[in-house]
Amino acid sequence: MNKLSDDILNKYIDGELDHTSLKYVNEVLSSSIEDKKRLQALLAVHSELKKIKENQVAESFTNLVMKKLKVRNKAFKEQRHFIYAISSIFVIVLLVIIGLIIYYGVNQSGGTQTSQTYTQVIISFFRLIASGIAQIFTPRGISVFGSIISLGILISGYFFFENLKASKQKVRKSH
Amino acid sequence: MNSLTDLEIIASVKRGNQADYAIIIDRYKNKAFSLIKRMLKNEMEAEEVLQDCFLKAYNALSSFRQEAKFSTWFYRIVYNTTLSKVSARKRKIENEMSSLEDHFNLESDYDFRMTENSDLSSFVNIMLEKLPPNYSSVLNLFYLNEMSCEEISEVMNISIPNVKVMLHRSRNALRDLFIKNDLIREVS
Repeated sequence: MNKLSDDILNKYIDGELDHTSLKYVNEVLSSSIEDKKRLQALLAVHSELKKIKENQVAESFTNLVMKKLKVRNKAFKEQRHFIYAISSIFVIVLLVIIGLIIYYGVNQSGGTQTSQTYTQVIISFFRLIASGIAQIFTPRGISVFGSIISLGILISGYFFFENLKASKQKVRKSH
Repeated sequence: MNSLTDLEIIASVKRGNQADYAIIIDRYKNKAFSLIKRMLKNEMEAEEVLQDCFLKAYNALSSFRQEAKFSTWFYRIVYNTTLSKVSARKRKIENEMSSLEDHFNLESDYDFRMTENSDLSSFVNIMLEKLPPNYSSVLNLFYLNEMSCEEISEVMNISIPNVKVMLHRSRNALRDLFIKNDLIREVS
């Protein structure tokens, strides 16, 4: 009959037993042939498991992964550049709109601000912007502004998805 | 360059030296491949999953905070990715139900003719591949990757006592086969 449990034998192998338990196990092992045989078998397994070998992956593996990384990074960079380009267009369009508002505002006021003080110029500048924005928020202004923005989103969305599709194809080809 | 630590290489990669990531790949590819292959029991799939793991790890490098060892962090990615693959496959093929079960019987998988033609090491390697993925992972990480039970528990996201239970169970199952087939004599 086994006096030592599997758990104790495993702990014995892993060196996890305290001094008292270790002494007890050694005593049992010196008297029980059955337990000694089980321990020897476990030690044999332990020793064989220590010898297990690595499975070798293909020689070209590292190059393949690095190539994939390069393709992915390139695709990612292209996407980023595309987003920057679209954002820049939006910013430029916005600046042009603001510029036009200011230009018309200045013309309407007859260019009198040259004789005003610096503070007054700034105040009138912000007033002009505010009046420009107020013009946008008229029913007609909203519909024109909304149409421009929607068109812009539609066009950039189309190109963005086309770009995304092309990048995915590139990554797939590299597999 | 190969004498650099993992953290030094990672820092270099983060600085923009993408090519240095090849050192990390070379350092871990075979051990990670062994783990994946033993979990998936399929070489082709294992290589695909390994590629995926390295790409995932690269993309997640910015989130690596150096609180854990790089190896532990990387093997967690490897283990989780492989486990997802096993689960996906399990959903596809219902017959492979045994793959994630807690109970296993190596004896039913054991081919007695095997030992006549091959050595004990090959026998152990074959038996390792017969184990359920979580058990073979524990043995692989413990013996091949020389990880402690604490590190394994971090990789597999299970408690340390659970790691020990799985380690003991796997050893005991192999030991029973050794005893039953009188294989102990072959061990010097």
